[in-house]
Amino acid sequence: MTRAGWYPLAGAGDLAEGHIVDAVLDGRALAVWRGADRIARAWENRCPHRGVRLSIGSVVGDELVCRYHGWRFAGADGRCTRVPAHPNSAPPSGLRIQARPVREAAGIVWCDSGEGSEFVEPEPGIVARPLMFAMGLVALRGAMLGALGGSSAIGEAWLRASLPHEAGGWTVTLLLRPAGPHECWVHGLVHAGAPARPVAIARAQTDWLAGVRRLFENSL
Amino acid sequence: MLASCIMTRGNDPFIDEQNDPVLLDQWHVVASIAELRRGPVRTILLGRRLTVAIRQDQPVAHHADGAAAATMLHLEYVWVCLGQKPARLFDIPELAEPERRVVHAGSFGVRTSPPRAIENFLDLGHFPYVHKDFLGLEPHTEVPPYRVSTEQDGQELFARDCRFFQPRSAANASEGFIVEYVYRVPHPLCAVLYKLNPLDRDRQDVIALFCQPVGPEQVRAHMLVSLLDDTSDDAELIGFQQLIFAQDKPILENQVPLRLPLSPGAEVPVRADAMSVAYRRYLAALGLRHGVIAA
Amino acid sequence: MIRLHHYELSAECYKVRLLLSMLGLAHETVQVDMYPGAAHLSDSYRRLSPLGRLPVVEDGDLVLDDANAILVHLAASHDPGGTWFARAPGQIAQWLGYGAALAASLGAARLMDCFDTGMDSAPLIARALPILDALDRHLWLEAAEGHFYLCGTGPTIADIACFADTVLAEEAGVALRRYPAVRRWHDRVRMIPGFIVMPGVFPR
Ligand code: FES
Ligand SMILES: [Fe+2]
Repeated sequence: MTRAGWYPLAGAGDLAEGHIVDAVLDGRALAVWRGADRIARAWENRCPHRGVRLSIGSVVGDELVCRYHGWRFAGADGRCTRVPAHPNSAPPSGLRIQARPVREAAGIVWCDSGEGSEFVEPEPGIVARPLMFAMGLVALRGAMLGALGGSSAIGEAWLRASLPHEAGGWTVTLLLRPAGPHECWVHGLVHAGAPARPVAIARAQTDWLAGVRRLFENSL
Repeated sequence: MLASCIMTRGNDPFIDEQNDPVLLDQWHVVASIAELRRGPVRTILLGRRLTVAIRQDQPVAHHADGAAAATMLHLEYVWVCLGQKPARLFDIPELAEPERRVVHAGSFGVRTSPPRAIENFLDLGHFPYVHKDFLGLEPHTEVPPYRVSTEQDGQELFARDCRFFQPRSAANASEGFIVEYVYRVPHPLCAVLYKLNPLDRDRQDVIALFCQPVGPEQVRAHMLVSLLDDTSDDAELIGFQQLIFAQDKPILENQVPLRLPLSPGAEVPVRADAMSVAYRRYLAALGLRHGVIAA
Repeated sequence: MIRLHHYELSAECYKVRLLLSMLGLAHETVQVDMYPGAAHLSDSYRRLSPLGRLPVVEDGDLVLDDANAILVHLAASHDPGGTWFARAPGQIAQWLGYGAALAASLGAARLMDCFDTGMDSAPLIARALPILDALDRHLWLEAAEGHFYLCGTGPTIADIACFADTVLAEEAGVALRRYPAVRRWHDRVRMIPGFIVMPGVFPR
């Protein structure tokens, strides 16, 4: 268990309306989705009826529809609004999908792994492509601080580092999301002072980070 | 470390699911005769590697160390028992009726628990979603009440008077109508479906699912189809059955947890789930441990 | 009339069914009982495809037994708009190659598991993961520029060639949540007019 706090789940732009991202935060499986009301939500990724992952379901309007029996759940409160097998009866009362606190800031969808954690806004930047590392958060953070010259820690889940000069030399804030004991996602914001095409910067960042990942994989 | 050891000691004696006596003392399908005609089959039953073959019309099965396992031929399949042979193995007498075609529609690997696979086979409510345009179609989503009963001293479970609107219920059906089903669970990991034939409503199509428990979260599912259909060729019949099963497969592989929870509060059933509730009770009454989360 | 010989659960065949549907091409189908019947290895089928490959398309006198070749043929001969292939043939051919590599790794692993062959699919999966990662990288960077398909702003046969095996990746035991940009692109492919499903693929 990592310390409670706000962690990135996805780039806000990668969570299109009607899309469901399948993400894990600290061992908790989440269906992260955006309905027609444009609000991003992170729900427990499990239908209460027979346990099917909601991330394989579909979004209709502001509701999430389970793939197995078509039960519908309202985005507003997670309540079941329809059980198609019994179209003329009220859905089981008190049935409600657990939602995690979500907010959007700096182009990223964030989730609180605890309750009421304080949100610290990172320095704005170009949103980078998230990458999965097959290491736990603590090990990854340590490895990165050791391997990336000039890097420094910002709290327990963020790092400040610089791309090598030939890759543009930009400063990045790496935002780590613990997923499981051997899985950590690295989101990021690139702080590019000079004007350059954002996608060129994002490409340089992801290729650099993929190189870091290969380095760690080979040393395991 | 230490704490977990103490906790284990404090609980009920640990029973390895792969040694569940309910399943050890039971016959299980391991291969179809059709498949064995092409050569020996290597497979896994309750975590044990087996080689199965037919020699001089007799089925044989061997463990990895060469020891023989008890076998029998029944209903187009070879069955193996690893423990004490049970007093009876169910039959499907309808298969002996004249003019019937009995076809093995394939053995499929599925990453789920055997009971989850059977529960899905007994389920009507998913037809308009998982089998859209074939076995169901919105807005015909209602599951009318049906009758559930246990018979044969609690060894068999039935659901009768199941009715559902189906747009295309079989390979040879061209229009939609209400089909009538009877579901039968004659074995904890086998289920049989009797379906009114769209051509001759007095005769029934029979579809059976025999789940081979490879492990608590891995199934080898054998499908047997017996139809009175004489308009579709075998490839079409097999193709239709495989299509339906392959639509269920990704659902089964996305259930959390993969093991079937037997505690009544673990999941939320509605009236349409009467058969699911009954099946879970039936497994609990048998004392099944393999592939379930005990209540 | 185009005639397609196919097997319902084959991702290679699904590629061709998808394009036929998206182009709205009339065709007839012949089901081949590949499993358990092994009908693709029969003498009669080998007259169409000596190697027993699926799918086969007969179009007039032309007989093709390779999914990529069929995609190219259909797009080149039956797409009056010329948007599915001619727009960027070099780029598209590259992704057709990725699609073939996915079929040989991820697709083969899926069939091993699905037909319960007892074979170890781990070496095949190890070959598939870097391809999935390259696909995720490309799709993420393209989407950042507003290109929502593999080759630009509109669908091409490159999308079809890479969609089939990746959308079925979980049947080979690969969790797709590792590739969020691939998952998002799957949603976009599902929205192409004429999109159809196969078992294991969910509609929009
Ligand atoms: S499992 Fe979700 S509706 Fe049945
Ligand atoms: Fe089903």
